[in-house]
Amino acid sequence: MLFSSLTFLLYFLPAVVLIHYFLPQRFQNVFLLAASLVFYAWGDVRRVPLFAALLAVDWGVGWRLGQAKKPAGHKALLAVGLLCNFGALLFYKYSGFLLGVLGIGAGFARDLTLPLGISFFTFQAAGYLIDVYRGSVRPERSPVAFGTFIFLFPQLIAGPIVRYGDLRDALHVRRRPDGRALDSGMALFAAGLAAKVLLANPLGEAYQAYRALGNDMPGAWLSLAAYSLQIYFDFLGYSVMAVGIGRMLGFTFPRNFRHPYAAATVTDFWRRWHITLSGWFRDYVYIPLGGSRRGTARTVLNLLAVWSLTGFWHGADWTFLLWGVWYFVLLTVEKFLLRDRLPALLHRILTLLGVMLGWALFVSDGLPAFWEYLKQLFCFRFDTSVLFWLREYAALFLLGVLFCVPKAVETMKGLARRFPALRWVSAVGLMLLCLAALARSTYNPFLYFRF
Amino acid sequence: MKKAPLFLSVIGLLILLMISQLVLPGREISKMENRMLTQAPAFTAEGFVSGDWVDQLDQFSADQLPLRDTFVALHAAWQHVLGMRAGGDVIQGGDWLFERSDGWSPRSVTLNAKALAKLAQRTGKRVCLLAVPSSACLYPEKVPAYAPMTDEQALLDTAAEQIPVLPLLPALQSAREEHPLYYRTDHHWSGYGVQVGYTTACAALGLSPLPEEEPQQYPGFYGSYYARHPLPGLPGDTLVFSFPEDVRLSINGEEKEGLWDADALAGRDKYAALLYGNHAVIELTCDSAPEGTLIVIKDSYANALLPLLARHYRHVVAVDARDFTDNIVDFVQKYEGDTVLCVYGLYTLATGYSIYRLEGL
Repeated sequence: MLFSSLTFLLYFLPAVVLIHYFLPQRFQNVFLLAASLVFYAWGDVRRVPLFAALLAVDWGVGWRLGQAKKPAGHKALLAVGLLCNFGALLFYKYSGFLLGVLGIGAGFARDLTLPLGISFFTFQAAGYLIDVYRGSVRPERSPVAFGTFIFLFPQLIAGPIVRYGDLRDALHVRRRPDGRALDSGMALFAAGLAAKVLLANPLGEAYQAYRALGNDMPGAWLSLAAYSLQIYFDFLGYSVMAVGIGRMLGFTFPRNFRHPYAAATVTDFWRRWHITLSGWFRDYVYIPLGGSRRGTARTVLNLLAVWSLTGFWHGADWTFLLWGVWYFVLLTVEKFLLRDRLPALLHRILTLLGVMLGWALFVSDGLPAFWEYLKQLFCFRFDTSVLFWLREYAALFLLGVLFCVPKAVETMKGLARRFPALRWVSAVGLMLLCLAALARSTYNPFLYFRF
Repeated sequence: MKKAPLFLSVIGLLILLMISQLVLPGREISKMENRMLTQAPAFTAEGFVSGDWVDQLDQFSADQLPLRDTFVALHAAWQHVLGMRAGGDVIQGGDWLFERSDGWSPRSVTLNAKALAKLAQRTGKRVCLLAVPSSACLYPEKVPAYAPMTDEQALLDTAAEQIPVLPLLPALQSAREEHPLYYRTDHHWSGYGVQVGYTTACAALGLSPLPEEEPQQYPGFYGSYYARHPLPGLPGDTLVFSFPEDVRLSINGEEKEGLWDADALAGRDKYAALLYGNHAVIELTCDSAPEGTLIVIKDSYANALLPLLARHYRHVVAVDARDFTDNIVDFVQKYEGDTVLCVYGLYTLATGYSIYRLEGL
């Protein structure tokens, strides 16, 4: 089920939030787990057994890892747990690509559809196992609470990637958010939904309209700008909706985006974009590999490993791998060659340009398509037909850019905090506009089915 | 929870919509959008596992959203506020709505026209095409600059390579200043446009046009373009047609009372009243006319024109290629008329293969 479907908005959301609110503590987790299963089964009921089995393994391994006296084969146990998770990920997500590269078994792989949310699920579970292994959290004793943590529907299919430590306390109390939490949660949800439905979806149509112009340089760049905004507001929208629903259920989810397009450097961009994913790679891959403490050569190698994996996490194709490597190059150049030698403004502009060119790779379906796109971006041909579409989406672009400016967003948030009536009007108004858009629109894509 | 006014308002709104959706009877069709709406699907385990039931339920929630028409209009208003003029693939220029035609395909025109040429060859009859261009072609100055439009003249030339095309476009062009030849909110030609089409067809068929009769007028007509982009505040059209009284209509063999459907005139899609909408085979009979049969292959553009032509023939037999499933060659050969007139919107020719796919061609 998608947050931006009317089934979710009219039935699932009100029912789950209200029932959960009034349930006594001992039923809250089991209810949320059941609701999350329904939420997941809505799109893909056949995958539920797979996820349930993984859940059981993760719970058991975690529990065993956390025994006070370290059991023999502590490390092996962790390895088994990680292997199960990453094995499932490898099998469903990457076997098609890898076999294709080797030139065998392409037919077998084509029948494998990617279970929705598997990348988020497995990463969250693996993070938990490592945390328990390191002793930084105590293992969850209750399988229901553990299942609730892993399967919690707001973050199940599009993040953020939540650490067990962040949710542990909330999993073991009567969750009864107060009026402020309910109000701000719903306001966040409405804002996130609007980011998805009122900004990202029409920006996606803009992207397609500009792309359809073909060999026209301004059109190609406008399409890239439109896509850059689309993917941000889409992803941001999902994350903010997750945080909002979480709050209405009494959970605090981490923030996943912090005005990424206002980044001063590429390093800064990744501190602002999909924060929970970069945090995961930092804590569970980069730092264990030695981070930047073992000399320049080792640091460069570590960066390469982390960024190839980050790219590959986003999808099993050369384009995603290259997208990761592209960031490796940008970050390495920034770290070792540029340092702070560039004027700040120029660095900012180059950062944005680098990120946008990265999206050209990200959006392309295979390397030949990327090469086509690149040629269009630098074709130096100009056609008047772009003018109609330029005007058509001008206001939408302005709105999109406005919501990328930290000061503008923070001002709006401040106003909403100071004037509750204003926040009420905006939230109800946005909800009505979103319902209107959903009643009609046929274009409501889910962009992360390859994650 | 009492101190959560915002939360309670939004949840209340959603629950209100949910309850009305469950309690109110489902609507069969959307008159505004002119299409069937999805009904609540029955639950089956198989449907759940395969995902079909879920898909239908999602579609049902959207189609049967209470106050759906209001929400759709709200969305159009929102797009208007953002300065968008191409919502619903309709392009707005002032009070006019136009078809976005950049996706029209010359290949589709060629294939349909080739099929007509084949029909001529297989039946030995004369086949000619009366292709009605879109309003954007006649009133380009009203279309926003650089709008994604196709060159309709070029498409007509493409068709003319295969089959005789009647000189409708020049005739419309010379009449375009006198009266609006198209509806502003609908894809069809207006009563004036139909008159031009009538004289053009008469010239080709060797008939002398009869004087115009007193037309019927129905204000408050919001057509198909409006249905796709229901912009609040857009003035409606007046549906105008002049149907002779001595012509009788039968649809798929069943005789109708009158040439138009009074019930449909009361609804939103008033154009569907003309000849009771589109049907596979219709026949118009005029007892006061001399002998003779005219065979027509048509889409809805012919519905306002055929009654005028019917005054010249004892029988007019018209086939809607989109619904007709029999062998067209056999069908045409059953009739004595020596001419087959194809009356089609250029839109239909350029966006579908209905003639090309006719059985027997």
